[in-house]
Amino acid sequence: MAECCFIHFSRGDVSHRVRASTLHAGESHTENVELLNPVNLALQCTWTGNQNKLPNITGFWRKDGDEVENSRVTVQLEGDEYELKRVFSIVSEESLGSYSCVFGSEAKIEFVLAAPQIGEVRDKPIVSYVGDSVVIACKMEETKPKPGSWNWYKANGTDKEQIFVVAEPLRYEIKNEERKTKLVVHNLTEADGGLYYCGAVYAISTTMGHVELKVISFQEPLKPFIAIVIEVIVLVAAILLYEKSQSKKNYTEGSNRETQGENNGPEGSSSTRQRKI
Amino acid sequence: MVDGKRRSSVESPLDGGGWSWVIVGCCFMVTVCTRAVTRCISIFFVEFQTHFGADYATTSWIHSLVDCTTMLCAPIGSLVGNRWSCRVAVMLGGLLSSFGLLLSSFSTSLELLYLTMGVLTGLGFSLCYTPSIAMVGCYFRRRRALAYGVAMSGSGIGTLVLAPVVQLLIESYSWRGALLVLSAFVANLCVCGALLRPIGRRDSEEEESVEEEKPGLVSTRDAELAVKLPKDWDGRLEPVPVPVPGSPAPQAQRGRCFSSCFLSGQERKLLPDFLVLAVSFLFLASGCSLPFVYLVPYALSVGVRPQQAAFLMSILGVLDIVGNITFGWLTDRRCLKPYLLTSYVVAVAMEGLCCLLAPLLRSFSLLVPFAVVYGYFDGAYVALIPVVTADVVGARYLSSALGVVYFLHAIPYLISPPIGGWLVDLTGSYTATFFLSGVSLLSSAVVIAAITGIRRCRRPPAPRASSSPPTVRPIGGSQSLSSDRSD
Repeated sequence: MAECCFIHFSRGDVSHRVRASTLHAGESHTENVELLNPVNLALQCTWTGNQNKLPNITGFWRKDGDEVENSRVTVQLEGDEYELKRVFSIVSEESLGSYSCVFGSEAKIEFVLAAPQIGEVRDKPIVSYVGDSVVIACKMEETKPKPGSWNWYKANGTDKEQIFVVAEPLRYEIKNEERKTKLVVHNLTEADGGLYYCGAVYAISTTMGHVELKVISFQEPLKPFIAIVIEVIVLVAAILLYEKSQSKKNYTEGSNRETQGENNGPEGSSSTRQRKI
Repeated sequence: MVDGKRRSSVESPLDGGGWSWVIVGCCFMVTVCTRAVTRCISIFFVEFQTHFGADYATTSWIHSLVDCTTMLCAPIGSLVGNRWSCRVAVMLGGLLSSFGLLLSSFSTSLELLYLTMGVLTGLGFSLCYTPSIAMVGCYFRRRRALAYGVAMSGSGIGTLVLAPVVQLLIESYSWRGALLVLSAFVANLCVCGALLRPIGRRDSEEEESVEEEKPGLVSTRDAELAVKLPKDWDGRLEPVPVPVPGSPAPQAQRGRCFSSCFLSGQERKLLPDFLVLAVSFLFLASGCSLPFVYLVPYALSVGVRPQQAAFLMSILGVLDIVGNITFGWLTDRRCLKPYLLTSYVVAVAMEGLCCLLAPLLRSFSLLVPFAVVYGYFDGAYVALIPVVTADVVGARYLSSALGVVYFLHAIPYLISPPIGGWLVDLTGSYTATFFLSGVSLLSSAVVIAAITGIRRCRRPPAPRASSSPPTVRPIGGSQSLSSDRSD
């Protein structure tokens, strides 16, 4: 079981934080660290070692898979544990990523440093029609910190182009609330389809969520609609025509029987009444 | 055709003949297209909220409007069905509701949706609902409860099937396209309407059924029941002119407008029974919708996980269907047939008891049996409402009576969920809401039981006489509120 403790203290105008994690033999572990502002972050790893408790082992730090320069140190066995600690200066988006402390070649703890992620991502595309307007929304969960502001981007090939309402005020509208944002696109065309990104802006970086927009023409739902309507018309016509042909047949038969039936009628009813009482 | 029908129905009652089950199938489809579609409207809410920037309360009005309009305009449905024919009513309703949904798919504001989806579609549904249910009653005698059970199960089965389909439609075509396709689906009501073949002239059908009843009553029922029949007739004697083909006019005129014309002698005798039934239905409608609305929030508040809470709703839905069909079949059994009203009272009372016990159930494993029992008896009483009504008013007035019955459901359906919500906000727990629901349901059961008991104790010693020889009124079952129970 890995335990973790969290200490927060400020010194000056840059706050220091210590994030610690303890690893027992034969395990690897990942910690998610959420950061809002630039910070000097101290990462501390403690390892209880394996069967052969060597007095010294080499420990180093990795960032995103590459070894951090000058991070290789010799770790002494102290009180049955090895400890690695390093302070990293996290100032911008490039500093975020995956940091790992490695003991020899055996134990590793990974710290994933990131800004708050947008949790509820709609995986199905939003569908809308040519000429209609569509509302695309993004939301940051209540449990996560509020973003400073929101930006919207449209995917252009592999790039993202930011959407500025000022440039095209008739087509785009952005409505921002603290935790929600809405992009309204008017007068849709087929070219408007594709991936849209909403960016939650924090001091340290902007986290992205994406939504896909599909623009279809009105003919698409019209096909099943017309198919079902034709089926209804055909069935109704068939039933009514069948009934008409049946009634014509019965009419010719019935008029023959009626003359016989009427003689029996009144007698029949009186006899049933007598049977009743 | 009239003659051919008469002959065949004297030989074998309409009950269970091939065409009767087609009618049941039609009513099933009508229930699917009306009640199930109404329930599936709530799937559109999230889309409406995002598109129109509204909140949950404003969008949920659409569902309440459709439900309320369907019930409120039920008498119009029975009026149209009586005046012209069930076929005309259902086809007209199908066209209207389809048109309403079509207009909704082009709607540009929430208020327009209220009008097109809420009012127009609701009106169309109401034109279909009552006449088709009344039609089933006309075609069945012995197996009426089972037929109604199968027909009413359409709302449950329809919801189960339509909900994922509507979800798929929304994902593929967005809510506009989904409403368009749904409007075409609802147009199938016209097909159902076309199949609701009028039995000759509808009024002469009643006279025919009177004639059929006579041999039917003697030959198909048990000897002991036949002996008890004179006692049954005490409450129902009135002169009925001998039906002669071509002159049913006076009865027909009176039968046509139950609510608008003023009540004749035979209708006046029906009125007390029907009033009791009406009052009990008012209580019933006040209590029955609350658990459906508040079960999930209550489960979540006692710590049940969201997936488990959703599972509870599914249990309710499935047991609803099971209750519809099995309880209908059960009450048609010979041993239970005389106790139809008792079975109905028992079903409603059981529901009421469940609701009263609900606040004591504070875990998922305890709420599952609640959902099972409540769902089963909810399906049970829904299937029995038309049967009990038919028993009390007879087949002739069934259509009009059903219109009034469903009309009485409208306002309680509309106001009881908000009142329940207000109680939750006021007291901070769901106990009061479930208590209200339980008490309403129990009062509904008690009203019928008490009045029946009082009537039995105060049965007049001499039969109410009439000068002409007594003829049987078209009573469907063998039990009514005012007469002796044939034990």
